[in-house]
Amino acid sequence: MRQQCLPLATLLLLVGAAWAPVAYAQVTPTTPDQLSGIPEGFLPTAKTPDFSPRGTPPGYKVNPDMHDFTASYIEGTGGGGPPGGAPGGAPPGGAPPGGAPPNVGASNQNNCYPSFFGGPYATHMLSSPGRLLVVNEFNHTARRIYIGGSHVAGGKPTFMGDSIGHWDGNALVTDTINLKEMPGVDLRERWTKLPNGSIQDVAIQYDAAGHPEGAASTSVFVWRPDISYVEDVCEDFAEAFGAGYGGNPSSK
Amino acid sequence: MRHFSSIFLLASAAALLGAGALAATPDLDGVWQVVTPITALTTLDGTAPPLNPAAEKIYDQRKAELAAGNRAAFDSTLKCKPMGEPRTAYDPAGGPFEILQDNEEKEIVFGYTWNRMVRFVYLTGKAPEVIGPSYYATATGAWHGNKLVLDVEGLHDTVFLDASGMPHSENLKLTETFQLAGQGRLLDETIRFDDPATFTRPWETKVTYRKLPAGTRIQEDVCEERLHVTAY
Repeated sequence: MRQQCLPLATLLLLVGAAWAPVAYAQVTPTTPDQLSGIPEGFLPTAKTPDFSPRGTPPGYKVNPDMHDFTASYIEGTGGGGPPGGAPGGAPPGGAPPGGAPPNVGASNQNNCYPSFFGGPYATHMLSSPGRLLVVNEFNHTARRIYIGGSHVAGGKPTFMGDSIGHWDGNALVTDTINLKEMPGVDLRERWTKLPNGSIQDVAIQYDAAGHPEGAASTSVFVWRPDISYVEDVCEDFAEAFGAGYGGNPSSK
Repeated sequence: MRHFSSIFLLASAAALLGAGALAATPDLDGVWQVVTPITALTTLDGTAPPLNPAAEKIYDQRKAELAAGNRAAFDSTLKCKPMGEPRTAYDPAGGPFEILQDNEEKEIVFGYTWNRMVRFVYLTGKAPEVIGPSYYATATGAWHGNKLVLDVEGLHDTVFLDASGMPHSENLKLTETFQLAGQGRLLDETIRFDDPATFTRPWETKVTYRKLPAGTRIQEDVCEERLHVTAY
């Protein structure tokens, strides 16, 4: 019989290992051609730490369909950018960089609430007709982008918000509103597949009045054809670390 | 002569088109919901699953807890832990789920409403390496004609096959066969349960899902918010 719970030391090693590829992804500078076609307002600032994905892994071939993002990735993050933080890049259990509204953030992540900012775990994308599904393994976070769709009228704020998109050449331009962690923010992103198979996501936030808040931020999802989806269940981690449950009488 | 050649060419083209149509992968992409939610599984002939005596004893205890209104005594979904495979799709509380097929036919994702759980199925013929049992397990699949057949193993024995607490062991092997019906408006799933540690023989059940209208979106579900569970 296989073990049901991993020993604490193994869990810590796995968390450490999850960080390693992120650091590796931040070594080489982004080149200008990788940013070509991005409107001026989307260009990262000089303060943005440079990074770029590693080269195409040997033995694998990049899918030439620039509109097909289906693959597994490890996210490297450029940082900088707008107040309130960039998509991705938040440390596990931590608040989004730049802070978050007082009612959300670290405590909610600790309570196994999803976070738009994901975490340093693998990301898996699947392009399907009319949709892009972006799954971050951290706390089974699933973000859906409806391509060609329109925002839901009167929609309520959610952790993943309401994301729609359209293709602008080979760039998927997305617009996200109703983000619970960023009330009133309109997040606009430009996703492009790089020649080495990685996905670059340049984002900028607009306030409720339609004004950009700070500079753009850039994330790169580094293509990792050698990995596959691993189930992460935050609720099990809570129990494994002996934190237990509270709040719901029926759960005791 | 030219006339016959043209007919021959047309017939050949039609045959090729027909073969292509037959070979096309069925389109399961969309949002689905179980037609009749299942609380307690039965076999294809409507009888109770063939539990062995030890498993029957466990199941009887759970049924007694349910009758006493004490589901929390055994059902970890009240702590927001996943329902697991295959229960999530047909459980009364599971909600709609979506199926996404990639363009290269290498993987399929099942995106469940319930607490945002997802399940990746790889059609590459090789199961990815996993650590220990999990809630949605490792699934490999292949198209057999117009049927999608998934082989699933490596499931936690801490979850149940249905809301009534039907047990299984970690050695459970599922074979899930999906096939479109009703001109694509319905999806039939036949599930074979093979678990000698729990059942006296392999058995099957059938579940039917209906396709929800185009444009239906999976709603974000945060179990901890819904049940007011504090994990830490």
